[in-house]
Amino acid sequence: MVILHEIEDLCRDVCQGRLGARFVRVALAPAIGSDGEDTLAVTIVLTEGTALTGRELIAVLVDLQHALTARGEPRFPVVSYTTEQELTEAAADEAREQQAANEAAIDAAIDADCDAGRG
Amino acid sequence: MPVPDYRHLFEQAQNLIAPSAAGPPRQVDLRRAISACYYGLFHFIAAHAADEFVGATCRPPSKRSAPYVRAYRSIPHGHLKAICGQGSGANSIFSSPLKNFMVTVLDAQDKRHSADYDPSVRYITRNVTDLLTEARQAVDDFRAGSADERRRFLAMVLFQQTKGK
Repeated sequence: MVILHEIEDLCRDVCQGRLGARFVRVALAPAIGSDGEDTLAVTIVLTEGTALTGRELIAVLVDLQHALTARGEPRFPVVSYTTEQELTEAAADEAREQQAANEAAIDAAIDADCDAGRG
Repeated sequence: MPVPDYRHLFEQAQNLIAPSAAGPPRQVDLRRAISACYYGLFHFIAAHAADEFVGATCRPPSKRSAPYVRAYRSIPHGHLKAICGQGSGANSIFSSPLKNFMVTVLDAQDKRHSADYDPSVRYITRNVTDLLTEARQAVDDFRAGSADERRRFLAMVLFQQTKGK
């Protein structure tokens, strides 16, 4: 496999070529495919308000797949898109859900204590 | 019972992410929507393969539907993945539209698997809208391929190569 920062440079070049000024940055992470094989999670951050067409979505995917294969990288790129604002909102949603889950767990523990005290 | 309509699975994905007063779609709805996108493509392939090699006139509820159903149900996901992996490569014999279709199937399959089984992934609505847009484009790309290469692809999907004795 190719070194991660080299793959990142390659992905950045492909995205800039296809998406131009709508491309902000790319983040990579190792992932697992449907057969348990190694894949690459490629998260592409776009400028706010950008919506890609089906042709563009497929073109980026095909370009990335071919560029990675040509560089000797066997992992399939699993591409997803987001914006900085969506990342912020998703983090806030997750924190809210975690908080709610924590409060529910505390309530359940208090209920269990009360039940034990009554028993 | 008619065969599942791939367009209905795409619509199901769309409905699962429709805005509501309760707030953004729940994670389980986003996961089901991603799964529906992949299964839309899967049923699209299964129906085309069975139509091509058994015949659309044998679709259920025809009394002659047994071989149709057998063909329809004979496509393992792993085999489909292998065929699409080979067929979408830079040196593949297939044209760009068919390669686009196959690479989208690979993408949707991995995303479906994560959506169904990986609890560590968090989804946003865009993940579904993008995959849905991509899947619909992929269907158009499949149709843009020549009849010969569509038939070749469907044959590879339906008939697995076995080692001769």
